[in-house]
Formats: sequence, structure tokens, C-alpha cells
Amino acid sequence: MLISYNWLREFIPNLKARPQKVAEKLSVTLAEIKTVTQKGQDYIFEIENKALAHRPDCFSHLGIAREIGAVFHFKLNRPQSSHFKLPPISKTTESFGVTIQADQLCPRYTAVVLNHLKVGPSPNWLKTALERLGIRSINNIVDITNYVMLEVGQPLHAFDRNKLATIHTQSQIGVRPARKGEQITTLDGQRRNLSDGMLVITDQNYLKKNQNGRKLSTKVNSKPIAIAGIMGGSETEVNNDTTSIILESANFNRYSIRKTSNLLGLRSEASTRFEKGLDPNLTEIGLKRAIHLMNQLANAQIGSKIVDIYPKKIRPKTIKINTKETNAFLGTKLSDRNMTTFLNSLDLETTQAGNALNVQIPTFRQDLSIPEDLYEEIARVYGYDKIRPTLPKRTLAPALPNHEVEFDQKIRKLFAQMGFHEVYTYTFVGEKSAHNSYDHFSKLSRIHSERIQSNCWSGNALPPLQLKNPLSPDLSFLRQTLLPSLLEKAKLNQKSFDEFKLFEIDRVVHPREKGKLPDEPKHLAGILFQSNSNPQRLYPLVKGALETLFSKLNQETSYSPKTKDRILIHLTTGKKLKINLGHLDLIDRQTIGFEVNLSLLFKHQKGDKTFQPIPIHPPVKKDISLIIPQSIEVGDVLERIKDRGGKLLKEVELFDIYQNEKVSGRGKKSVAFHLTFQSQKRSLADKDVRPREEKIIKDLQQKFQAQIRN
Amino acid sequence: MSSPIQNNLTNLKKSIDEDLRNVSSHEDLLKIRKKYLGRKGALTELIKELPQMRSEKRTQLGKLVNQTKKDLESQLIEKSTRLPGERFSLVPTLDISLPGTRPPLGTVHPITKVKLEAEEIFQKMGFRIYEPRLVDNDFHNFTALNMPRQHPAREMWDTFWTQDGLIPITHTSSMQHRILKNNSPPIAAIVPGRCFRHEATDSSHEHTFYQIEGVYLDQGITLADLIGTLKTFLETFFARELKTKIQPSFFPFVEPGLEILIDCVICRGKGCSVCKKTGWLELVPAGPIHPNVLKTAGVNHKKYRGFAWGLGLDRLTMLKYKIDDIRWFHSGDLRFLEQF
Repeated sequence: MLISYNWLREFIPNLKARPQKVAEKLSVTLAEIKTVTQKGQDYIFEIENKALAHRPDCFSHLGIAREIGAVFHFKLNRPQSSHFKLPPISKTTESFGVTIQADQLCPRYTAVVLNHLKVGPSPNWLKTALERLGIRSINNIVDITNYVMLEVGQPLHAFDRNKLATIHTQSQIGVRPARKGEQITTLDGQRRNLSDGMLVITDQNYLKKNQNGRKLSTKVNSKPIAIAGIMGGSETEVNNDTTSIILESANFNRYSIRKTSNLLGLRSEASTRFEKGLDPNLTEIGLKRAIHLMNQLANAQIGSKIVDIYPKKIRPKTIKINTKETNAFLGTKLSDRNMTTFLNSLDLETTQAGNALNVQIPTFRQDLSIPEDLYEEIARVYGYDKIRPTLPKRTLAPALPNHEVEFDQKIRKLFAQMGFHEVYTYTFVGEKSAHNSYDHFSKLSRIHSERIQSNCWSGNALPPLQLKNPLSPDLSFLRQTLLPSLLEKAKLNQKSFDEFKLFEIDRVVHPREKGKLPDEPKHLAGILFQSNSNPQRLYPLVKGALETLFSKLNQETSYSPKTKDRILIHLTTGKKLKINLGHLDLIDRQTIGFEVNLSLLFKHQKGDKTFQPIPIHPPVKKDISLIIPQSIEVGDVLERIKDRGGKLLKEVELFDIYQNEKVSGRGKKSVAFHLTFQSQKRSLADKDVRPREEKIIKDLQQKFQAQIRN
Repeated sequence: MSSPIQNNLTNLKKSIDEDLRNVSSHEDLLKIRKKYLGRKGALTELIKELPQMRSEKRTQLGKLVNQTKKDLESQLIEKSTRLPGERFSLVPTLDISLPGTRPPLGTVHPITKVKLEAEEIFQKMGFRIYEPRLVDNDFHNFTALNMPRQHPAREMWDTFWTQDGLIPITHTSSMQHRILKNNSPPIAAIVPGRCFRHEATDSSHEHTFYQIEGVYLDQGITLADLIGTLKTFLETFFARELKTKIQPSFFPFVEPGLEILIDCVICRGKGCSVCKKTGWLELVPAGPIHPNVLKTAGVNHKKYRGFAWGLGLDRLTMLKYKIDDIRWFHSGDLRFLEQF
């Protein structure tokens, strides 16, 4: 909202502070002043509307002037009664009526007929007043309605009365909810479809006529001539030929205005004010001020009695506060006298009874309803900067830890240590665009769509949550998996890097049946990219990272193929346990990714590792080199050796693997293992382990058709 | 039994000893090094012949040759230390200006770093960490925070809605009701997490952003305590004394609503592009918890008072590392991430 410094000074002539100073002060007492701009001799303040969402009274120069008066300790030069002086009511009073069919949505409707108008350009002072605040000058009548709104805060509207239907010279205005299918062309020239419940102002006497002006129906119809509180219709617009108007100064329900304005996508200076919740008692002030000005500038003569429909009168209320409690709330030591002065400076009258202050709340301060609201008023005028910061007194009990957060922090640090870079990607993903942008990854679009449509962990394959109002199609679903987003980032980085590792930890969203909040397990996903690589080279690198993770967590895992390019990871700690934790995906020759359900891993968390005593007796090391058929998995051989190794076999390690037809023969591969034998009780000699070694070899020969290499 | 090479080696050793005895200057040492260890030096030539030998001999002789080489090298060094005058470097010089080979470390995201730092400070101050949901219902995101349906203030939060009426949370205040309801006072909690706002992305706006909500509830706490708590946090975080300024603002779940500003940490209050020439940074919206929020959560609002705030993590991170564009955070660009 824009406010003119010069206009403010009409209410506070004694204000000497420079515009910049006033803006600074208002920023800390009322709302942020975003900019101060010089315009000719004047300065325009741009005030942050959001901070005034609860202060409709401040959407006027009078309201802002009141605030400045309070904080600069000036008495407000209130508008003189002469500003509201009305011309005499003419003898030829026309009768004119208003029918309200929606009391709830229209708490007050005040209107009057003005005749003998001389519509024309506004005087310069009026034009300037509006234009410096960004409002276009139209003619003296329209300009006055805008001027009064900026001055006291009451939006007004003028209807050209000659464009309304009359029955026996009587016009009739109606206020009612629109009916479905009704339309109106608003002042901005837009044809607008009205829907049920939008509040409209109608011409009650409108009769359907044909082109020759003959009545089509004897039934009286009411026709919308304005969208209440938002914008008037062009059919009853005031122009230079207008001689008679109905001037409306009404109060409308804030929620209704807001809803209608949103549905139509239509905002106006009027709706901005109404939706904050204006004071119904303001209508009369606004109307009288406008009549006064129209009389002065456009020769307006009052042509009817002032219609005022105001069934439920709003009266000032009283809020009681305790001055001790006020100080306890703010952390201040203000005297009762101080508090009284501060409140009074904002036109909040007080009466004191002991420690209690009874504060009378004028109706323009609808925002004040609880004692806390008044503590704020006192603090604002006193100055927040004068409150000395303190710290709460509390016990020495330490903050309780959040183990899940600590778990996640530990894993983030571990992956960074292992050379992975943490990325943040959006929770919002696209469905269609995902496919297109992933062409580069041959298998990716499939992986992505598979996950988008179903969810590989929760079992109940519910589709992902979809946004009603996405920013773009590629940000329209809530992801169930992290990996596709990581792959997108991998693709981007390939332009600058030949090799990299990325990871991300975040919650994903797995919908549940209607009425239940979705499951949001925390996932860990990672990706390894190496240009001109192959899965044989990449796989151990990624698996190694996962092995380090699981070993740090004291967990055991196993891997099993799910499809040609997906390997499942199982948690196997504990004999009977086998939980699917996630998977490794072979994306292409250069990329491997993985995704693990961290929440599941956290749930099955193991305690700390136990220290293993370091054996004092030296180990005996043996190497076994084998040629085995290619179809045999190394893991199985490893497990077999461990299984047959006996109590003394402490460790088996693969140290060589290669396929070379010259060495191993067709369809065969060579593998070699280090075997470490060790006893806690004594030093082993070669003869202690030789029989065991032979037994292992014999077993491998039988089990895997292994040949021994020298 | 001795092979030609072996004889050769014996002769070489003699010759080396001879030469070493006659050394009188650094130049002599260099000459010896060239004669035996240079690219065409006698020992070097001998080493080149080794692979052609039969394997049993090769190992044995190889050891001898290597030993001779090592002895010579150490003798050359030894001699050089005894010679007067400027020393020549006899072993290949170490170029200390060579760039190091760095171990391949990864990084955590700068927001994670700042989040950890902030969490640590708050934990030291006694605040427990809670995590928010990504998607929550209308009640927790709005209604419980004194914003019933139809409340116009809801629109201050540019909200995403899912097809079935859930909300990707617009603030981590979505946890406030649960925290107040499920704990007994005194309560000190922070909620760091990811939030969403329906707004177009530019250098300072993101639809996906991060916040640390704070909730404090106890008897006898004051507005001054709120200001003090946040001032203390910010001073610890920025590791310096700060000036604070309070601006009135409006948020339905606090009363009064405040905006806490600090003197710009970039220009120290002189005015720069980051603080838009004002010298002040608007950092933390905050305020005493509205009695309606306490009532809804079943807290005796006559007995207890609370305060709450919502600290922007993105902003804090941008200030700390002087990052000029918020879009870097979700860019996934390693050229950005590598720097942290």
C-alpha cells in the first residue's frame, strides 16, 4: 500500500521529522516500510501489506497518521466537522429503497441519491493526490470516491441512477448472492461469470425488455450491477453525462469478499480493504465526507434521505488487562501511567481500577480482542528496541537426543568421508517429463515409471500423491523414490566430470488409504558414475560403500538378483531375519545407483560393537588359487570355505579374480583367496593347518569342480 | 661359480670404492653419480641386463645389485655432508611447490552443514530436535495454528495442495501442535525441515526451502526471553556480537507477531546489496504463541506462556557462505557442492 507523506501532514501538521525518519520509525512500530520514493514535493511510502493483514484501519491516511501521532507523541489533527458538512436536503426528495437478502454478508448498507451533478475533470489537487498514489484520475465523482477511501479507508461506489430501471420513478437497490449462470461486465471491460454465493448489488426493478423497449415480462427481475465490494458494472458507470447517482457506502463480510475475489481472480483497492474486515461504523463517515466533497466539487444536491440498513450495530467493547501481567509478559518494568499514555495515544481510552486497566476498544480496531493484543500495542508505542533481551530461566537438564536425527547425521558424514557428495533434489517430480529427460539412461525411464506407478517397498501399490496446483508438470508428483532425481543430477554433471559419486537422504512419500497421512520413510540413495567403465568395475565400488555402511552399523546383509539389472539388498542380522532394505540398480555401463530405506535400517538398529581382543599368537597364512567354472559365484565359494574352515580359520579374503582362456581354459575363471588361521591359545605351526587346507581343497574340487592352480 | 655379470659386479664395486676414496669436491661426487647411476651408468646398465638371466640366479643377483646401488647412494650422501662449501643435492630434489594429491573426500550439502551447526547450538541451549512430515493435513498446517478454514491469513502461505486435500507443509510450524500436546512443560524444541511454497523460483525465492521452527513453553517467560534466545543463537552462529531490531509483523499463531532483524553480517550495517542498502537483515519471524494455539493443544494458557519462531535455513546458509543465488541449493551441480 502507498501512503503520501504530505497527506499525512494534513493530519499531523506539527510533524517535523524527515520522511526517511518517519519511515524508519514506522518500520519498528507498525509495519515494514519497503521503500520511500520522492515524487515532486512529496514522498511516497510503500508499506508491507502482509504485516497489516489484521489492521484494516491502517489502509488509510487517517489510520497511518494516528499511528505516527502515537509514536512521535503528536496530537492528531482529526478531520474537522466541516469536512463532513452536508448540503441541505432538497424538497423534492425522491424515494429510493434498498433490499438486503443476505444480512450475514452485508452487515451495513448506507446509500444516498445525489442529483444535479456536474461531472467533469477533477481539480488539480485531487488529480495529483490520486496519481501520486498510483490511481488514475477519471472524473470528479469517481475521483472523490477514491479520495475518500484513501483518506478514511471506506470504499465507496457510485451508480449512474439514470441507467437503473425505475418503477413509478423509484429505484430499488438489492444486495443478494449471485445465481449460477449470471454474468456481469465489470468496469475493466471484462465479462465475468458469477457463481453461487458471490455477493452482488442488483438493480431490483430491472425488467426484461426487447430491443424496441417493450416489456417482455411483467415479472420484475433483479439484475447484477456490481460485484459487492470488489468492482462495479460498466452498465451503470458514471461518465460526463451523468447527472444523478446513487452513492453507496457499505460494509461487506470479509470472508465472502475474499472468496469471491479469489474465485474471479479479481483484486481491487476496495476488495483489499474489505477482506481485512472493515469497521461497519465507517460507512457513515465515508458517505458524509464524499457528499461534502461532491457538493463542493460537482454541485451534488442530496436527492433522498440517507438510507442506512444496519441491523446489528457494532459497539465499542472493553478489554481488561492487568498491568503487572503486562510487564510479566513483555519482560518490562513499565509504570501504569506509561501504559495508560501509550494506549491513549492510539485512541484507546482507559479507566484504571487497581492493577487493572479497562481499555475501551473503538470499533475501528476489530483486531484487538484479547489482552495479548494490548500488550502488543503497549510494546509498539514504548518501542521494542527498549526491551532488554534476557534468557529464560530453566533447569540444567540436557536436551533429550533425537536418535533418528543422529543416525541420519552419522550416515551423511560417512558417505561424505567415502567420497560421495550430498545433493538436495526436489520432493516434487514429473511423470512425463521424467521420461523425456532420461533418454540418456537407457533403462531409466522404465525404473522411474515403475516407481512412479508402484512402490517397491510398502507392498500396497498406491499411486503417488499428485498436486492439485503444481508449478509445472515436472513438479507435479510427490516422489516415492530418490534415485530418479539423482540420475538427473548425474546426467547434468557428466558435462564437467568424468567420475563422481552423489548421495541424498530425504523422506519419500508413500500414500496410504484415504484419510490416513502417508508413510514417509527416510531413504538414502547414491549413485556412482565413471565414464568408459563397466559394471564389473563399478559394482564392487558401490557395494563396498554399502558394506562399509552396514559394517559401521554392525549389520549383516545379503544380496540377491531381482531382475537382470536390479539387485536386492537384504538385512540378515539375526538368524531368522531377512528384510528387503533396498536395491542396487545397474543403470548403464557407466552408472550404478542404489537406494536404501533408512527408517527400516534405523528400526532394526544394533547396539554398539563389542571390542574383540587382539590375538597374541601369530597367524598362519595360506593362499589357495583355483580355476572354477564361470557360472559359479565367488560369494558361494567364499561362504563354502568359511563353512568348511573349522574353528581356526579366522578370515578368508578374495585377492585375485580374472578370466583368461589361455590360463583357465574356456568357460572358466581363476580365483585366489588368502586364508588366515589363528588360535587364541597357542602359536600354530604349518602342520596344524595343512590337513584343514587339504580338506577345504578337496571339498571345493567336489563341490565346484575346482582345479588347483600352482 | 660366477657368471660374467657377477664378475662384472665385483669389478664395479672395486672401481666404486676407488673412486670414492679420491673424492675431493662436490663435483667429484656428481661425476661418480653420473658414472654409475646415470642413465647410461655402469650399475644402471647392469640392472638392465638382469631380466635376461635365468630365474634362479636373477633373484639372488638382483638383490646384490640393488644393495650395491643403495650403498653407493648412501655413501655419496655421507661424503657430501663432510665436504666444505655449498652443497649440491645428490638425490633428486623434492619440488615442494608440487601440488598435493588430495584424498578423494566427499562433501555434505551446505544446508546440511548449517543445519548441523544450528542444531548443535540449540541443543546446547537445551532444545530437543523434532522432525516434521513432508506432507501434513490441514489441521496441523493451519487450523491448529489459529487459522481455521476460511481464515484469510492462510493465503499469506502460498500453499500447494494434493489432489486429496493434503498439504506439502508450508512451514515446520506444522509440528507445533503435536509438540505442545504430547509433552509437558517446560518444553524446548526445534523442528528443522523442508517446506514448500507455491511461488516462482528466482535468485532469492524457491518453492522448496528449509526452516527451523522453535517452540518454547514454560511458566513466567517473557517477550524479552524470546528476543534474548534468538539473539544468543544468532550471535553464537555468526560468532560475533550483533545489534538487533524488532519489527512488528503479523502471523496468526503468535501474538504479537515480530520480525527480528540483525545488523547485516556482510557489510556490518553499512548497507550492501544483500541487505538492500538498509544495513539490516530480516532473519526471524517470531512471537509469543497465541493463546488459541495453546488452548487447541490443551495447554493451560493462563499458567504457561510460550514463544515460537521460524528461522530460514537457506538464508542463514547463503549469509554464511556468501552464496548469491538460492537456486544453487537444488542445482545438484558438483562445481558448487565440491566447494563445501
